[in-house]
Amino acid sequence: MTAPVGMLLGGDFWVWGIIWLCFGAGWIMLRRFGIFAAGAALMLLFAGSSWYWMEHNDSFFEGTETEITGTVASPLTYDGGRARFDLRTDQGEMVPVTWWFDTEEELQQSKNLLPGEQCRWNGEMKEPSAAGNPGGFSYQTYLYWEKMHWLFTVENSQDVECFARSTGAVDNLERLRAREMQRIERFFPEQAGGLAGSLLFGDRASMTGEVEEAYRSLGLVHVLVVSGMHVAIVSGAVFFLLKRIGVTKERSYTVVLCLLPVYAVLTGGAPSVLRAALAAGFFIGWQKWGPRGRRLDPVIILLTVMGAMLILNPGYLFHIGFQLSFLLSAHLLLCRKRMAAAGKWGNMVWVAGSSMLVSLPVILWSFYQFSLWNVLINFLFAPILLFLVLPFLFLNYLLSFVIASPPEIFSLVFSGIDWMHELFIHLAGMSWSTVRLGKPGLIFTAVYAAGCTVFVTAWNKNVRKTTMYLSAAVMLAAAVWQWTAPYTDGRGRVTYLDVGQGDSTVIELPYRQGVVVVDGGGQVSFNDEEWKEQEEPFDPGEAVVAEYLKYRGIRKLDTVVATHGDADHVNGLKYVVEQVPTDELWYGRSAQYEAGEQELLAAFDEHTDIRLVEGGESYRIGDVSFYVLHPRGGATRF
Amino acid sequence: MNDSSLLSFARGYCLSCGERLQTSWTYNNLFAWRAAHLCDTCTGQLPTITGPACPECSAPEHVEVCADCLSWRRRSEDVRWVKNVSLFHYDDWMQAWTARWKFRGDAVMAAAFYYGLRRAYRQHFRGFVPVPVPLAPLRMQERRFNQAEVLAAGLKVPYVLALERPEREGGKQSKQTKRERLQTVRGFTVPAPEIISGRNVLIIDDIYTTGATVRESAQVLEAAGAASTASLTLIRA
Ligand SMILES: [Zn+2]
Ligand SMILES: [Zn+2]
Repeated sequence: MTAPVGMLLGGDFWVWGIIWLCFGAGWIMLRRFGIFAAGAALMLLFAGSSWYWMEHNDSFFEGTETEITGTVASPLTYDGGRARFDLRTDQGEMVPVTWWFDTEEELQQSKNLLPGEQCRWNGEMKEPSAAGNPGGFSYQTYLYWEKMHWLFTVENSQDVECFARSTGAVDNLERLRAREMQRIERFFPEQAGGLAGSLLFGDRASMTGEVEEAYRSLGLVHVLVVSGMHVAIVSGAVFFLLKRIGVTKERSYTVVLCLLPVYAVLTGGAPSVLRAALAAGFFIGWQKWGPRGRRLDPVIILLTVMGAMLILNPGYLFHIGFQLSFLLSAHLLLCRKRMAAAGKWGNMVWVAGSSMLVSLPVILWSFYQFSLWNVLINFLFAPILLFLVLPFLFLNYLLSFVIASPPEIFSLVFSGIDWMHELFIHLAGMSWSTVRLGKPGLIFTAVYAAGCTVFVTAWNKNVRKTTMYLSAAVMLAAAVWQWTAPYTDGRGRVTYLDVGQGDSTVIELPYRQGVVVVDGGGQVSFNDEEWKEQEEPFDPGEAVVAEYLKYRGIRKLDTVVATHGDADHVNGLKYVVEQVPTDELWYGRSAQYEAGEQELLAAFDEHTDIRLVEGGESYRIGDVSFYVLHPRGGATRF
Repeated sequence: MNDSSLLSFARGYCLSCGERLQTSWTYNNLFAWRAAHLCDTCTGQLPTITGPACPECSAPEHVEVCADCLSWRRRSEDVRWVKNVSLFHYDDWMQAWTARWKFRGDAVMAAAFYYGLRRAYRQHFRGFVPVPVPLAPLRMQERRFNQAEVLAAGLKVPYVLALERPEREGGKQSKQTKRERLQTVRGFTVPAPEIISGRNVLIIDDIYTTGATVRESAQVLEAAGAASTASLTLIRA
């Protein structure tokens, strides 16, 4: 009990406050119930439900088990020589399983394992890692809110003993989903396949990490998630078809109502899908059984769905997808009248611009930076992706039932998609267009949130121009303040980051006179067989060092020091040097370098200047001198 | 629409058309704590004066001081005149609305505009003393309320009944021609000049048509010692 409460208080506690304040305020404004009673009752209800939820979020495992029995509950996703899936035990506890294969045959065979199979594995229980680094991601917290407490690793070749197949409706749907995802993987070219996997079945794992990262940093990731738009299109299509066959309106409502949960499961059940499906279900249910002629405001529907989801799982509150999904839907609903008055083009510009503005406080809080391309890219590509690419992918998916490979002519579109992704990666990689502010504190976030609320409200009221300018100016001033804050801070900061092998040290000099990174950890590649090679092996340089630099709002490195050439100490620096503008890289001077070192230095040389240093030399960065202690005497190496 | 709307944003009835209020949730009313008085439809039809208007009398579609105002200036009977501010045009909707408000004695209807009036007062006339234009006693008996006083009361600032109007007047103003109206002398009096002496006075009236009523009041008030005069009217015809 204490641990989750600690997480709650230490982490994103403010989110609770703000969301529930809005939620309570919304109901209060109904002025139907006693003013504070309604808000207070809701708060109590939520506090009670989340307390209950956390009390009952316990594991049935001790951590010493070496055998696990359960039902495969998700499609298997592959990465190199291993697969990942969720297992549901008989007690209903979910356990993420990582399954390492010894031979390629084993891997191929595992593809027959579909959701719903009940099997037994031998392996090892592990505790998920907590956030070791400031600003870092805590897998433990993430899993806790997913009601998962242990990781199970299956190694060594073994016969998996499968004894039954579940016939539950959800398992059957998951099985269907897994099959269709495999079909997409076979039928589509790589890039288009990844996009189809996420747009049609909500499977983001099928996208390459680089592309997904580009979508994220350009603020386009909301297009990738199955959401209200998809649900609207699908239910609209079903209504249309049923009407064609001559089914009554009442009946069609029932049919769609039954289809919504099916669709939600088929598309992976992400918060945005749940939101859309629940809202659509609520709306249809109201039409069907609600009092006649009584209108329900869509904002009320949204708030009710939000409340229901949070009562079911309070952990959604920390889910960035949940936060953005509800924030943006509410925003668009709240300004729908004004948008209708703005005309078509004004409308589109407004949607792109204001959505970015409204999501900015949340994005800064979670990602510490945003891209200047955001509005333009959203304006240009969100409609293309939703209204051209999505129907095309769907058509191609339907064709996969009929023919063996996509028609020749489609390759044009496929290369168009490749090209688009290239462009996204290119734009996302431009360091000048990314505004990196670092993690805003509570006060900055509150100022940003209040500023954009006032701005959007003033725009809606259409009268007070001065209010708009004023709120924009306040937000800008806050951003400038946050940007310049490190340059006025007289305290230096040295941070040791846990990067697995050894440390990575980030030295921030007082007044941000300079930033030095020493080593960056790294994964050692064992020259595996091709099938075993991971597409994106864990890179501490990316996941820890670069993430920490974002968190601190470090936009430029003066010096990166690679202390020696071992891959597990410096490989991670490759990503850092590539992503963050770096003045120079220091490396020990030597008469000759091994092949591995030469390769490494060549990789660094592409992005920065290399300075070879030697014991006895000293360099000044700002007011601080750095002395090189080793290697001494030219040719002698450590 | 005629049925009650469950869970809609506000409750009560539209002060203009009597429909149950069905205000949707938008940014406009999300942070507004005052209760809505008009339905969305009626709010949409309000002939609010936006865009360029005469800086001296709020006559719509004038960028500079309008001809009317220039002619008033030439006569310069009220040298310490500031300006008139109005909230709405006079169109069919407004005409119907005023008719119900004034002649059918629906005094409460004015509540719909209190907020707008208060805002205009704060923006343009902070510190002025509101003085409603009085009705002739006979008319007062007919209508049972003075619409100008109702508007002044809505400002939530202490107002002064500084003007009085003796009993001696012909037909209703709306039935006179423009010339007649301009010539009519209403014979306002200021029974207790010391209340307004040396203060900025804001004349409150429902409508500014030719400006005659307001200007005449201004003249009388200035003669009684007002430091300056201005007017806030609901409608600019
Ligand atoms: Zn109305
Ligand atoms: Zn004028």
